[in-house]
Amino acid sequence: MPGARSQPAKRTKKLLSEENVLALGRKHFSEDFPNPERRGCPPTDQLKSLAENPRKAKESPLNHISSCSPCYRMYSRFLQARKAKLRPKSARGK
Amino acid sequence: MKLARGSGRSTTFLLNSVDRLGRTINPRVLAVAKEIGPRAVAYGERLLGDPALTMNLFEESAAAVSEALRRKSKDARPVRDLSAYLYRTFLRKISLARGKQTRLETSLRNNARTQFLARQPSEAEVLLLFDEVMATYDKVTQQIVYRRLEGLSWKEIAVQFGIATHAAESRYSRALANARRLLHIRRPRT
Repeated sequence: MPGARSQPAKRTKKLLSEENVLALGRKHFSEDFPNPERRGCPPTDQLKSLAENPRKAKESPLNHISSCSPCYRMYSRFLQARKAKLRPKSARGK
Repeated sequence: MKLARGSGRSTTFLLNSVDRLGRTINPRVLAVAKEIGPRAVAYGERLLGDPALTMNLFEESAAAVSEALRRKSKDARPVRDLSAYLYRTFLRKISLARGKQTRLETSLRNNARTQFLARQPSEAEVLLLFDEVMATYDKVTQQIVYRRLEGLSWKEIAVQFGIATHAAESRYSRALANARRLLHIRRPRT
């Protein structure tokens, strides 16, 4: 209508999609905590066991990977290996 | 929130009977916490340099010990020295917070600085969200979140933990929703 004021445009903050949120989280843990001197890192077998037997997980390596990117990357590799092992061959190509 | 008065040497030591995540502190643990609190918190404060963060960590430790006490009473395994147990839990949390601070600072100083500052505010919020979940949730929830980050399906996650698919999904959603509520972050688009 003439003379009618148009509604002010709403200020919307662009929200991230769920996939982007997950990708950011993965990037954060694998890059933001370099720990080049590898302080307090648990032995590799503990990280492997964390990926393979989640129900028997110990608190300390789990706490550690949230603040050590090299350990997170190693843990991630063990998780991916386990995922590949458990996925049926037919699903791998998809 | 109820406040309990401790017996600090120079100042009054105030401790909530509920931690910031809403977990209740057992009266027995609260009594021990009041006893060791002034010294433990003063020590933590020196290491972290942030009184509010230190106090939060102390209350979280007391709540975590209360939960452990409840679990152990079911298994009929008594806790021998409650004050040592609480102190150890607190020190672990302090050390974790310190390690994390140092690493993030190093990361900001070095190669990640420009990238981190260039991130959108919503992206920075996401990082805080995941840190919050990893710092406060139980080990099953933390591992579910890690598996989700690594692209495992709900079915695969459920099988690994021996739980129902919807239980895994609900743990994940609840943790993220609570962390979002605490950090005042809005939900992402689906």
